[in-house]
Amino acid sequence: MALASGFPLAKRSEAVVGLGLRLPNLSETRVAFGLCLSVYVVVAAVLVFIGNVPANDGVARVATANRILFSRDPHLAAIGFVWSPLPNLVLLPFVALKFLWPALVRQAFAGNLVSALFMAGAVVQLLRFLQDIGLTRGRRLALAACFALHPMIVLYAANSMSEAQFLFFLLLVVRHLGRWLRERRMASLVVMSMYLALAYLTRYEATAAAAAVLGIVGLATYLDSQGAPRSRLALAASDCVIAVAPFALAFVLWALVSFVITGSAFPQLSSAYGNAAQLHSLGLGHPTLAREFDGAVTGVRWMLALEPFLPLVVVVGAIQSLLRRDMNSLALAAIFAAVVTFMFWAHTTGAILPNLRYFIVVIPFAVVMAAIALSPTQPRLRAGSRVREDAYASVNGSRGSSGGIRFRPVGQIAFAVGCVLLMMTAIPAAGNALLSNSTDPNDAYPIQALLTRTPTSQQEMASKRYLMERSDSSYIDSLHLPRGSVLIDDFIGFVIVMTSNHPDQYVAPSDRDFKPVLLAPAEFGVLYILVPPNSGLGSLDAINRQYPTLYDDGAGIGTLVRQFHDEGDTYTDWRLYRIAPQH
Amino acid sequence: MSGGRFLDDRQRGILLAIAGTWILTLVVNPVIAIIMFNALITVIYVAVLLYNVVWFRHSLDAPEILRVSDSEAKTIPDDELPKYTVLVCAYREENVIADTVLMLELLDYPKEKLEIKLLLESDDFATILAAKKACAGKHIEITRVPAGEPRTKPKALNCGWRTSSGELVTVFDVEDLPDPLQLRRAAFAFQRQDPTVACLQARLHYHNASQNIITSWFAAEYATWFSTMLPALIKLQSPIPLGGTSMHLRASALRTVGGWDPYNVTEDADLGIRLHRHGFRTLILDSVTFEEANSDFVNWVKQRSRWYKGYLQTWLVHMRRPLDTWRQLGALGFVGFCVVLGATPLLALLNPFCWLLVFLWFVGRFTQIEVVFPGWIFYPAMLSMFLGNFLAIYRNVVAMRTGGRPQLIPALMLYPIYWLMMSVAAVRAITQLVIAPSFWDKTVHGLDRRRAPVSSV
Repeated sequence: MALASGFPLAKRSEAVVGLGLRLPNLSETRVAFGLCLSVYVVVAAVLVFIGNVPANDGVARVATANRILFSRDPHLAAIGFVWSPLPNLVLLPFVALKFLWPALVRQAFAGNLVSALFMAGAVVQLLRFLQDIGLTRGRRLALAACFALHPMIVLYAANSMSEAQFLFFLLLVVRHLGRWLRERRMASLVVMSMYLALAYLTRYEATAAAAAVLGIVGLATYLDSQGAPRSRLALAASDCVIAVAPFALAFVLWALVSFVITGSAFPQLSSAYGNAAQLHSLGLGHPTLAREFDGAVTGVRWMLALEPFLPLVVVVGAIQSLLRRDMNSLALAAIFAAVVTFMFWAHTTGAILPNLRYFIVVIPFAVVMAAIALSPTQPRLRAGSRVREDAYASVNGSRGSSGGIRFRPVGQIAFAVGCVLLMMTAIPAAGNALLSNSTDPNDAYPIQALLTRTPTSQQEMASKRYLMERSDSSYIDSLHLPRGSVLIDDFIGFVIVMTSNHPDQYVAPSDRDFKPVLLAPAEFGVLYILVPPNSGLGSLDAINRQYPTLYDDGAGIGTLVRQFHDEGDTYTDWRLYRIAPQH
Repeated sequence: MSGGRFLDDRQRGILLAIAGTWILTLVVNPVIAIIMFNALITVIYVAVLLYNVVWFRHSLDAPEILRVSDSEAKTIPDDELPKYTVLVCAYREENVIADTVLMLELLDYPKEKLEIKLLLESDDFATILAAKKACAGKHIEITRVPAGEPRTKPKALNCGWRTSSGELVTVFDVEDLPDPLQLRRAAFAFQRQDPTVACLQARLHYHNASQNIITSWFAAEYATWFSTMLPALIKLQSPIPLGGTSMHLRASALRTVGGWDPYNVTEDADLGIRLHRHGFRTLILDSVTFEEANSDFVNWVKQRSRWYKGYLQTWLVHMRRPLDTWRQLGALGFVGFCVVLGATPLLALLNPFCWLLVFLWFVGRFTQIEVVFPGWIFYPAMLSMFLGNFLAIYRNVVAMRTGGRPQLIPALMLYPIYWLMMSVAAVRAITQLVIAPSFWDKTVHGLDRRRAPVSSV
């Protein structure tokens, strides 16, 4: 991308591997990227091909990309408007390659590859950020490893969810905002603003980051400029406009596109499939005060499960910054803090489904705070970096060199080792949390099943998710039906359509003629209807909403052909009805 | 090559063939014909957008502007300075000519090395009379330009520089307020640069930005153009359209390219392209000339439509042998040339049409429009409309911030109205290009109520 050009690459000559062997053209960041990507892809392959540990939303995104390209009515508007668009869009080129390797779509492996790529990219961005704030190589590699090898990070790098992509863009925002705060070059601010917009198009919680950016940029410019308050205010306001205008454009544009296509500007909130509807269908509609309190307690417990020493590193990092009068580092950490706070609030008030993954940002937050605690008082300048000496002088002021907690060299190393060890405790702690039934049963069971030789019945069932949908799909494929002959709502049934060799035999809500077909299936040549039980999320199924009793008694339009028994733990026993042909 | 004729025979033939084929398709299958048209303009829009993104990215890095400090400018001893010719064209400017003479007197350059020529139309008696009065006893020479068509500024300029003796040549407009040290700065910069640098364009600023909203927009546009876009264009190895005033030229280079094209109504833009085609380079000189921004709607539209007409004229002239132009400008330069000179007026013309379509489709719910916008055209078209319009405002905001004029940012929020004015000008320009290609729509000067003091920026 043109916008990313012109940034100094890490020094290439730095790569020294193993026994003093010098490899040309291998920079620290490239090695880190290659290593992380390999590990993540291997883990992903184990999850997908050995363990059958699918991530619901990740698979659904591959299904969406598949729908855009290969459905009966291929069109970009089939992207769906409940989730942000970018994670679906980046899948398109991978899904288009399914003729080369069908598992990319049939097993939704395209999603896992994309999340692995983005998480490896996030590790690189973190490394560069640590480099930017002047951490020595040993320290930055150790801290980057605390991030890259964190079980939660490894899992979300491998399991095709959009968290990896979000962390990637968020780290880019933080890195470029950091550069702007140090150097005040307009290019950094503009590039940062672009990444902020991309972060929003990846996950909605970027809104919290945008609010933080707005505050930081406004304050930084106001405090840093000279002249009458009025003119300082004008400068601050213009920097704020530059910093968040692309985000605002993304926000408005996505709302507008949603409005044009679905008739609602914010379908993620209001749609029949949206967040509120999902919460309601799961009986999580209106939380009481007691439940909010419970939510708060769980939220804190989960954050501590991911980063046990989060409060400690936050306090130490903050004290270090304050003693050095280094507000810039603190400002950057505030971006992570804003996202964490927002998710905590949403979790507590029950605005989102309770899920450990919503707290993933505490991991980079903790790592960055630890990095601040370990960063040198006077950041070392990197060769080839554009960072100017006087830029640092302005950051640290005349007091800069004297501030901070100072140790003798041995003490410094001990302090660094101590910090890294504290951060390392997150690895067993989070590993434990991920496998614990009480923290995240939904994701824990299939992983447990993968790790044990003698699974319990619950673990066994969890490891059989989507197997029924796959056999369901091959059964329908075996009927050799013509185009558009099976009516389905692929909101829940996405795996069925995605796994099919002929996705165009299905009529689904994203088809632009879905409504008339739903009202009179037989007239449009529909031969079969597939429905899930009309309960739980199944009550959001468009076919169930139109024919509430279809699942139970055929609603007078179909005769039951077959019931597919779900051996997994979603208990969605799909039924296939044959439609009486039109005479 | 001259812009005296709108198209040459070959261009006319190609254009007629394309138009004929298209009309034939329209008769046989109107939907296909309209889709073809939509696809073409979408390709143009997307290409221009991509170029603009790269252009914008380049404009963010430190601009390549030649800076010559006051003390540097004064280092060259008077007797070593090159002889300088200053050309000033005036037509029906009897009211402001006295001010012009005052302005020229302020230029800091030794008299014996300075040749100032006031170029007046020989039948413009009022101005000649006023000029004679104002120039009495001054070191300014009045040159009468023979009357007759084409009555254009480039014809007058040619008339002036052919009889001049300066090694360096510059042009000012009557209402200009150049930095008094500008000539010395340019002389110093020329001395330091290699001979391929044939032209230095000083930055143009408006002194009446706060007069009304039109001047605010105009000032923002100009500041963005001269401080960020032009330097970035140079980095992109594109030829740059010169600014019409305050460009400083080596007389030898001017001789090589054959002076100005008397038929071109934006002789400055054309000269920039021709210099580039001959292998000369243009750089931006950090010295400001203050001008009067057009504050009146009608007057503004006249001026802008002359610019658009001239841009198109220039583009068409250099497209008579597109392969030659391509070879001389290089691929990158050729793309830049097409985007800046060809696409600017063309898109100004197409924009309102596209906005109208979107409006009809979105608000009027004319779903028939979808038939001629299949997905593969629709999505790129929509994306380039939103991103392009956004970028057009955003880069101005960024330039106002970096240029230290944040007070102009609020006016930018209403910038789309300014674009509509541009579209009006584009329609007028195209019409004129066909009817009267070399007609010079004169801009009225002196509409700002007060003159700003001469400042040495």
